[in-house]
Amino acid sequence: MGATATTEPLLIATGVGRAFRGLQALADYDLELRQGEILGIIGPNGAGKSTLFNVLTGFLPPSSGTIRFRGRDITGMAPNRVAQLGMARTFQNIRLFGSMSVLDNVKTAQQLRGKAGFWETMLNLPSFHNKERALTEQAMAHLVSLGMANFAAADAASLPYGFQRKLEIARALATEPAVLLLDEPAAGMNEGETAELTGFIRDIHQRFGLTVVVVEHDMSLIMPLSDRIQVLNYGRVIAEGTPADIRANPKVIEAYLGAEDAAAMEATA
Amino acid sequence: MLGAAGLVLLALFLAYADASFTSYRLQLVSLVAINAVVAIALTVTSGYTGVFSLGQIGFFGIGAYVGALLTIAPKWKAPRVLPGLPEWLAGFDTTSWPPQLALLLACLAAGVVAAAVAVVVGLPLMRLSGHYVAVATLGFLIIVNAVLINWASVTRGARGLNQIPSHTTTWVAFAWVIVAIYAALRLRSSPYGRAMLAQRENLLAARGIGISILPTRLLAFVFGAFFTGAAGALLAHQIGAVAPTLFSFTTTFTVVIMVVLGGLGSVSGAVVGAAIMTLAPEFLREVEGGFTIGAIQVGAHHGLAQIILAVGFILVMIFRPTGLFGDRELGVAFLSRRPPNFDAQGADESLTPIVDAGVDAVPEDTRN
Repeated sequence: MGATATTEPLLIATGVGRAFRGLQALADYDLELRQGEILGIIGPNGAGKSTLFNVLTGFLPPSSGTIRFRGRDITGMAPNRVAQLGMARTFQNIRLFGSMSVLDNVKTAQQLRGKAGFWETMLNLPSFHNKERALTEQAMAHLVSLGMANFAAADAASLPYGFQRKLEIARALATEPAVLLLDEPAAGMNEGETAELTGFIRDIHQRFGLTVVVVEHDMSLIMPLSDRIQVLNYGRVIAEGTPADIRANPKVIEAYLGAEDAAAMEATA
Repeated sequence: MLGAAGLVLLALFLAYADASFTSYRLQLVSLVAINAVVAIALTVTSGYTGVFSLGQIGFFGIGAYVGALLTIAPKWKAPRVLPGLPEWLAGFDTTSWPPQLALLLACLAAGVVAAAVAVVVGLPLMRLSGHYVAVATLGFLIIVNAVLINWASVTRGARGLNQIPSHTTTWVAFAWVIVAIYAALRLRSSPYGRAMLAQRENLLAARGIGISILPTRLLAFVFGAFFTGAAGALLAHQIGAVAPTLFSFTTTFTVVIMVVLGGLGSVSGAVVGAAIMTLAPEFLREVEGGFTIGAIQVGAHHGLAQIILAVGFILVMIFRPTGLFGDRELGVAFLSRRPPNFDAQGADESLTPIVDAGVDAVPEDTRN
């Protein structure tokens, strides 16, 4: 990746909107994502968080606005090309390559950054084996560093739930991204698992020099993790600031978060 | 090791067959091989990618006709017989060539032409998924059939082509099986095979890690077309005559059954499926004449063979829904495969899988 000393923010969204047959799922969304920050995005169900993720990563073309990533206009670009430019994501519903091994899940992502050619493969040339071995070693080292090496040979679908979540993140990291977008990574996890996941995200954020965007319901994950939080409701940003600002923002608490989440925020204060 | 042992056994069998089989039986052995090549090709095209193609037999037909037109002696493809042939092809004479060289050329040309057609057909069709791609590829088969029947100045229409030299031997047919197995397995353990499997397992996740869907599927489609086309040329030089009816829906579904029966995605399964589907009707035909089990006497019943075969498929699909082999390969690992052990990791009981009811609403399109 390397530290690019650009003055321009990594990811810039300007006036981005997305409508589904008249329903405005996302409107006038602006973002300047700074190198190295962890941005949290919260909001109730249907607030447009997943739409935002899909629009930023190319899975959905925006109906209005522009998106720039690393100095390039990526508005409407296909997701595989966006991934190639260094944006990786996970999904709200775990999406692994279930019948493939954990190692192959990672290798399939890693090969984005270099793989053997078709004829090298067919003719079984030594160069194929060198490249494939390098890929395997890299993927294995990646799994070791994330504490998942013991699972390397297992089918991805057979992993325990928490490790499936982790593998999805590991696979995203294997594409060597500059920005990692996590879509509700703590969904379906209990308190202990969420705490562990928080530590995990913080750890990879530092080790890989990542910039992270997290969409999450779970305040106990987002509050301690984020440098900055955007609150989304009805497709619009209704508040933005540090976790302390958001916590103190009466508009956020009363108008939208509800008593239960407000209490949870107090608890994590 | 296992591969070398298999090759020796195959060679011994083929030598034995040459020495003691009737020509009818030898023909059956060749047909097993030809069907196996087609089934392996379909395993890559559809099994690896999950893109269900019903057009495979279109490439079989194209390959058969291309191969046949190359090796038919000039006097049988002269302008008064086939006025539509270009001059060079009408005069193209392999009669003085060594038969195996002529056959090799016919197979390679058949494969290349089929592959080229696959590029043109695949560019629009490989963007589709699910039922849509099945119906669209079936459309391709219908077009091929219509062309074979109506382009009489080149194909002789419904009468088909004959006077094709019988160059195909059991040896060369099985040589193609081995090449096809090798190529399919190389592909599977390569970045390209992983990409095919990945987009089959989860299209969105595959795109999210940078896999471009169209080229990935197109490679599998063209790869399958090449081997199916080559197998078509083998078939033409096996039976000596080709006609449009050979490349029909029935043949399509027979090949689909071979692949599904063996296990969609398994190369070994495809070979076993091809052997069963080619040989079982022959053995069962004897049953049709009536038989006796203990006290039970069964008289002659036409159609009994098909019924027994069909009941067999149904039983396999009920008891082994993923086919005989699933998507695994026959080999040492297959024999000693054990479920992974998580106890060593101290897998936490509390890590219960929770089915997330939420949806990430993304249309399953394949823009590239």
